[in-house]
Amino acid sequence: MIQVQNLSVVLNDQPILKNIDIEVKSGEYFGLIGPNGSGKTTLLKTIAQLLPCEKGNMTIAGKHPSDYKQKEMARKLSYVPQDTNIDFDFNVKDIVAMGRHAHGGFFNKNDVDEEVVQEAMVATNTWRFKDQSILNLSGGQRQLVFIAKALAQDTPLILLDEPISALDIYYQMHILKLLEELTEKGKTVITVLHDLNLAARFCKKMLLLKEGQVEAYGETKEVITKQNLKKTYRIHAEIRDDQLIQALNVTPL
Amino acid sequence: MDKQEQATHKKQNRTVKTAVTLIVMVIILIFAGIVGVSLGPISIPFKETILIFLHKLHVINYDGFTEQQWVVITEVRLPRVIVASLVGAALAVAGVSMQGLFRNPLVEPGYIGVSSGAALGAVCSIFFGWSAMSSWFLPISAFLGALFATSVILLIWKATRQQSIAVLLLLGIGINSFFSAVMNVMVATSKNEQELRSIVYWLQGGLEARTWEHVSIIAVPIIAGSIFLLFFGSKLNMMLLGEDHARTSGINTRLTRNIVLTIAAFITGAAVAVSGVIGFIGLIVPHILRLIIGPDHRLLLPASAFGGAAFLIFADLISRVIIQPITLQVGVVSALIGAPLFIVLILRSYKGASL
Ligand SMILES: Nc1ncnc2c1ncn2[C@@H]1O[C@H](COP(=O)(O)OP(=O)(O)OP(=O)(O)O)[C@@H](O)[C@H]1O
Ligand SMILES: [Mg+2]
Repeated sequence: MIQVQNLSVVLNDQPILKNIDIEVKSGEYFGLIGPNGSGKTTLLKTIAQLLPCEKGNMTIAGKHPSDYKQKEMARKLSYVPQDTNIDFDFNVKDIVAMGRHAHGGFFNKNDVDEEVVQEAMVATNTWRFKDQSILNLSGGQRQLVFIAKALAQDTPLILLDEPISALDIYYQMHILKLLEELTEKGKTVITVLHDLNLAARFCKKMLLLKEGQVEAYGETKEVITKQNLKKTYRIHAEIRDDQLIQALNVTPL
Repeated sequence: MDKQEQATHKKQNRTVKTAVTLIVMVIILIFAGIVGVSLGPISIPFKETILIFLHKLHVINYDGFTEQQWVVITEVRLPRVIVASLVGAALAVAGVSMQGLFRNPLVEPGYIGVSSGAALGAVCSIFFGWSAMSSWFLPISAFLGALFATSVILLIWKATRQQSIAVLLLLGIGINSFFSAVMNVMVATSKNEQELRSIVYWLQGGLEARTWEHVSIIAVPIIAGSIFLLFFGSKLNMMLLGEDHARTSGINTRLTRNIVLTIAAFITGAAVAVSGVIGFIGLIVPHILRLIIGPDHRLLLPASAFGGAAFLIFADLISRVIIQPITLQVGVVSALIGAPLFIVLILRSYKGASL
């Protein structure tokens, strides 16, 4: 789905990402992890074509990004930013419906759109405040709304930047499971996560970034190791195989 | 109610809201127009005005009016009211579009140099005596001034690396001060008082003695430009979520911004070209409407067009009749109403936060 070769990104004359090589296949649940400031957001934005890359090559669904028109690109990938500032009181449903823009023609409104929007909102449990102003929602509720918007966009590739950072434990599981179901249906998910336990539990493959460079990349078991965590996060951690959930469990000591 | 029914129900609600809002706005505008044409030194009963309108539109045959009423209405007041409505609509539509683009309800067309550029163009045409040659020269020169100032600002802005909104607004402030300094030099060096008066007079924004000629100068650019901007409603909505959301949702933000800015400058330039600088309409009208009908540009844009038109007709009316026989200039009235509201707006909705 996505191929990134030798990618380097420079922002304000500062090299932020250096020589990144990754490949994410269709249907993969891919985790981006790394300490604060390691370049996760920068990488995700570069993939979403929101930042220009200085050097390197990238293909999205087999085509070079510049071969896509803006709308075509929006039918290929959706993006949930780390945070969204909004001062205008749109109601929640109108915001989610904006995800349908790329699917509409010139007079973009049809019944399919309405259904897809409703489905995305029901799935994220945001339908119950569809008519409320976005400004009246809590931080976590707002985060769910923007996830719903990305789902309504109905793209084969979904990029999420810390989508569960403001969510309670119920919704953390709910959203990560929802993404899992989507990957089972063939969609590709790339998500930044800070919670290593949840990342290890849901993501099959991972990229661990450190200071803009690849520290580890591959199967979850190969990435989440004592040595890697020590090198990047400077923590001593015990890593155990949790039989109950059949996933690695990271316990910092 | 099942899913689909609910969805159509919701959709119908929106259609009803749109229709009701627009019908109300049109009624307000027509009312403003009738009042604006009827009142003045020679008052004409509303009923008489309506009958004369219908006669003029060949809807009915009516001849109960006097020659004087006919002349006052069709030659004096009607063109003035139409100019007011076109100018008001243009300023409000340009204002609301730019506020959407910049995600900031305090932005006004004046901020990208349109008004000061037009003012400088007009002052030049008076200063160098072109305006005496033909009544077309002052508006044309104002219009070119507006386009010139806006292009200069946008070109400099494009050359900056980040193209941030704050830089654009600061550039606008810089150009505005520079142009007003240049105009002050012209006023100071101008040889006759008459000339100086007309410059100052024009700068305050006025609608005196607007004729059908003025209507014909601005009607096509303003109506065409405003209708064109209406098609950007849903794009502007998405720009409000910020660059990242807009682009990944399929908006070519750079192209949209360039087109909307150019058209906004174009219609503001056309408006300022015949009316002088009338401030605050582009701020107040969209703000009040946003409070009533919400921030959805698909509705806000057309509503602002009607609202701006009605607002300026009323402001002009106030300027003509409130302290007869002295007539204030409409720019002064607009600022008297607008500036306090603007301050309240800053205090309430922004609490002094960043631009
Ligand atoms: N516009 C910019 N100009 C210059 N440097 C930037 C810019 N944006 C980010 N950086 C720098 O790039 C580095 C990576 O930032 P990035 O936002 O990608 O980190 P991150 O891994 O997402 O961090 P976090 O976990 O805190 O979200 C940081 O050191 C940051 O200071
Ligand atoms: Mg980040």
